[in-house]
Amino acid sequence: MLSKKWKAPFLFYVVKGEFEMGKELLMKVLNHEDTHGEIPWVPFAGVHAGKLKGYTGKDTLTDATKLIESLREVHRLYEPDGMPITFDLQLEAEILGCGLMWADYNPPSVNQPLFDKEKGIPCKCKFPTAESGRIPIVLEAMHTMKKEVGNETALYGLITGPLTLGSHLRGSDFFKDMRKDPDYVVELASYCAEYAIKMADLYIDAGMDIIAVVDPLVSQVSPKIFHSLLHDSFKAVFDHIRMKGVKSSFFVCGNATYQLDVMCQTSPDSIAVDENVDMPTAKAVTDQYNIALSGNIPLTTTMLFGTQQDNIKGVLDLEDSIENTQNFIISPGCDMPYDIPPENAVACAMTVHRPEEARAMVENYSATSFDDIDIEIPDYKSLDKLLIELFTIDPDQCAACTYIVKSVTDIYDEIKDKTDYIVYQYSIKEDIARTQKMGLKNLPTMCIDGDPVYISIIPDRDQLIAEIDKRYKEKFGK
Amino acid sequence: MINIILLTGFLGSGKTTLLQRLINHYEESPIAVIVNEFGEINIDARLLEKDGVKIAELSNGSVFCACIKENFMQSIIEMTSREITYLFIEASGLADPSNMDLILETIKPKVVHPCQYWGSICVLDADSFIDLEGVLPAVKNQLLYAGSIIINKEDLLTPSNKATIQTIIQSVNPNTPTYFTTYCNVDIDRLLKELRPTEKVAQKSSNTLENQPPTLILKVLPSITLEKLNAFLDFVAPFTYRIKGFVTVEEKNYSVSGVKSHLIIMPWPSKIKSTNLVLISAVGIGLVSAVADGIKLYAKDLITL
Repeated sequence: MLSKKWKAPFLFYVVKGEFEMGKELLMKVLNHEDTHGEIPWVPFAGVHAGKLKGYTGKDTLTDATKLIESLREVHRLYEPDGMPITFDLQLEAEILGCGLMWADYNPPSVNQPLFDKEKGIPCKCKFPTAESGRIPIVLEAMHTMKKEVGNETALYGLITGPLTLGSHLRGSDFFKDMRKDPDYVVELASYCAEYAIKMADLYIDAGMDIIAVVDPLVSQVSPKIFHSLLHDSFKAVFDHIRMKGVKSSFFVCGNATYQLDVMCQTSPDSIAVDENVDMPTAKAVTDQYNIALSGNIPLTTTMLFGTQQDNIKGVLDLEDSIENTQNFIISPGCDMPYDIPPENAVACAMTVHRPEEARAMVENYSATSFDDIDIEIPDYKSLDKLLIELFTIDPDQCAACTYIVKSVTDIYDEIKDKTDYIVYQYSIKEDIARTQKMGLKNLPTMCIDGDPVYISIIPDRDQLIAEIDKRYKEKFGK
Repeated sequence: MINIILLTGFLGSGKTTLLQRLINHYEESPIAVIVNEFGEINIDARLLEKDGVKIAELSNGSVFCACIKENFMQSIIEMTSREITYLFIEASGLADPSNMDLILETIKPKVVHPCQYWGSICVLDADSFIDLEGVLPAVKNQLLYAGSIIINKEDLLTPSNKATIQTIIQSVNPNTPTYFTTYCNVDIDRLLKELRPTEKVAQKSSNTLENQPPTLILKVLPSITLEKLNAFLDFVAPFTYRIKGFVTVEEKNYSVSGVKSHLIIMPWPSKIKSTNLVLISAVGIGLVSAVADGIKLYAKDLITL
C-alpha cells in the first residue's frame, strides 16, 4: 500500500486550447523550425506515472493495464506536448539475462551483470522481438496511447543506449576495459547498438514519434574515449532512426557539459540534459549543430522538495536563461522521482504553457533553501583513517551512483585499515544540505577527507587504491 | 544414389553462377538445390528459379552455425527423401564448412535414400581472396575443406597475385584440383570427376551468431534513376562485403550484384517480387551511417530502410 497521498492541485489548471501546444509544436522544434517563442513541455514521468493512480513502480512496469491507466493520468494532469511510455533502462538488460533488483518507488536496477566475471558478447539470437521479456507490456501501452492521444501528443519510445547497456552487461569493469581492452569495448558497444536498432524498430512500428536513446553514463567517460570507442555505435543508432523517418533524442544524466560536443557529432535531433548542465552553455553548443536541447528542471530540489512556486520560478528562470528559444524543450532533468507532488509537475506544465500568467504569480518570490538545516562537517584531520564520502543522487537507482559506490565497496576489504566510507543520498534533506555545504555542484562525487577527488568520474580499482595509498602516506607518514 | 555436392566461396565469388551452370548441365536429371543466404532475403534463390528444380531456401545465417544448423539438417533429410540424382548445396558466402562431415554423419540414420557426399567445390574470388584470407577464418576454412578449387574472375588477376594465390593454396590445401576461370566457365564433367571429399578431420565451424556481420535491407523506390542508384552504390560499396538484390528503375527491372567496388547492374527479364537490396557490412555497425550518408548525398527520399 502506498502511504503517501496527494491532493489535487487547487491553484492551477491548464486549460487546453488557449495556446499552441501539443505534438505539432514539439515536432516543429524537432524539425528545427521557428516556433515564435512557444516552447513545448515534455514531462518524463516514468514510475512517477504510477503514483498518480496509486501503483508502485513495479506495478506500472510489469502490468500493461496499470501502465496504461497511469499514462492516461499523466496525459490528463500534465498536458504534455510529448510524453514517454516507459522510462526503464533495465528492460533490455533483463532480456539479455542480467539480474534485476526491483523497488517499489523506483525503476529496477541491474544487480547481476552477465559478464562481470568474464568478458563476453551476447548471442545475436537474443535480439529483441515483440515477445521478448516485458516488451509486450510496453508495446500494448504504446498501441493504446497512440490510438487514444497519438494525434495530439508526441509519444517517446525510450531505449537503452549502447554504453549503459554495455555496462549493465559487463558491470563496472567496463570502465577499466576502456583503458585495458578498448577493442572489447567497441565490440560490445556495437552489439548494444545493433540491439538498440532492433528495439527502435519495434517501438517505431508501434507508432512512436520520437525514439530517445537514454544513456546516463555518457557523462562518466571522457569526450576522447567517447569519440574513439563509442561514436560509431551511437551514430549508427541515430542514423538508423532518421532513415526510418522518426525523430530522435539523446538523453544523458550528470555533468555532460564537456561531452555535449561529441554527443552532437552523433547526429541526434535533440539532446536532453539534467540540472548538472548549465543550459545557456549547453544551448550554445547544440545551436552550433542545429540540434534541439531539452531540460532541465531540477528533479529533487525543485520538483520533489520544492513548492509549486519553486517550480514556477524554476521554469521561468530556465526560460529566461535561454536567449534563443528556437530548438528548445522544457522537461525535467531526467526520469521524475516517484514521489514528486503532482501539483509541482502541474505547475511546471502551467508555466510552460502560460508563462506570463505564471510570472505575475511569483513576483518577488525566492526559492526554498536548505540553509536552516544544521550540518556538521567532519574534522578530517583528527580522524584516525581517511574518510571517503560518496555523494550520490541515489546509491541504488542511479546507474553512475551505483558504480561509484561499488568502486569502493568492491575493494573495501583491501582498504578498510586505511579508510572508512559513508554514502549520502540527494533525496534526503539533510544530505542535500550537506552536499550544498560542501560546495559540490555535480553528483555523484567521491570526496576523500573532504576533497572532491572524483567528480562524475568512476575510478577503476588500481587508480583508487593508488590514490588512497598516496593520501594515507601524506596524512600519517606511513 | 543421391550425389551431394557442396558449393562454398566468399560473398560474390561466383557460387550462384557456378550453380546455374551445374543446373543447366544436369537439366535432364532430377536435381534439388538448397540455397543458404546470410541475409533475411534470399536473393540467390530468385536467381536460380527454374522449372523442375526443387529449391529449399535457408536464410538469416550460415547453415553451419548453430542458429539454423537444425533447419539445414532437416532440409537435407527432406530433399534426400525425393527421387533426385543430385543435391547441390550453395552455402552462404560467410559459411565455414568445417563441420560438414559431422552434419552428414548426424543425419545418416534419418536419410531415406542412400547418399554419397562428393565433396565441396570452393569458388575463390581472384580479386579479393588475398585481402580476405588472413582476416576471416571462414574464408580460410572454405579453402581448407575444399575438394576442388575454382579461382574465378581470372580476368582481374595480375601475374603476381596469381602466384600469391597459388602459394596460399599450396600451403593450405595442396594437391587439390584447381581451375582458373572467368564467370565460372569450367568443364563441368571434369570438375565433378576430379572432385573428392576432404580428408581433413571435421571440426567446429567458426560460424556463430556473435560474429555475424550486420546486414541491411534497403527499399529502392521506382522513382530513382540509374545514375542516382549507381552513385549511391559506388558510395556505399567500400563499406560492404557484398551488395545484391533486384530493383525497378523507370519501369524496368534489374539485378544488382556487387563485390567491393565491382558493381554489375543487369536488366532482369522476369518479374520481381520486391525492390530490395541486401548489403552485408564489412565495417560492422558503421554501415548504417555510411548508408545514411549515401542516401543524403545521392538518393534522398529514393532509398529507405
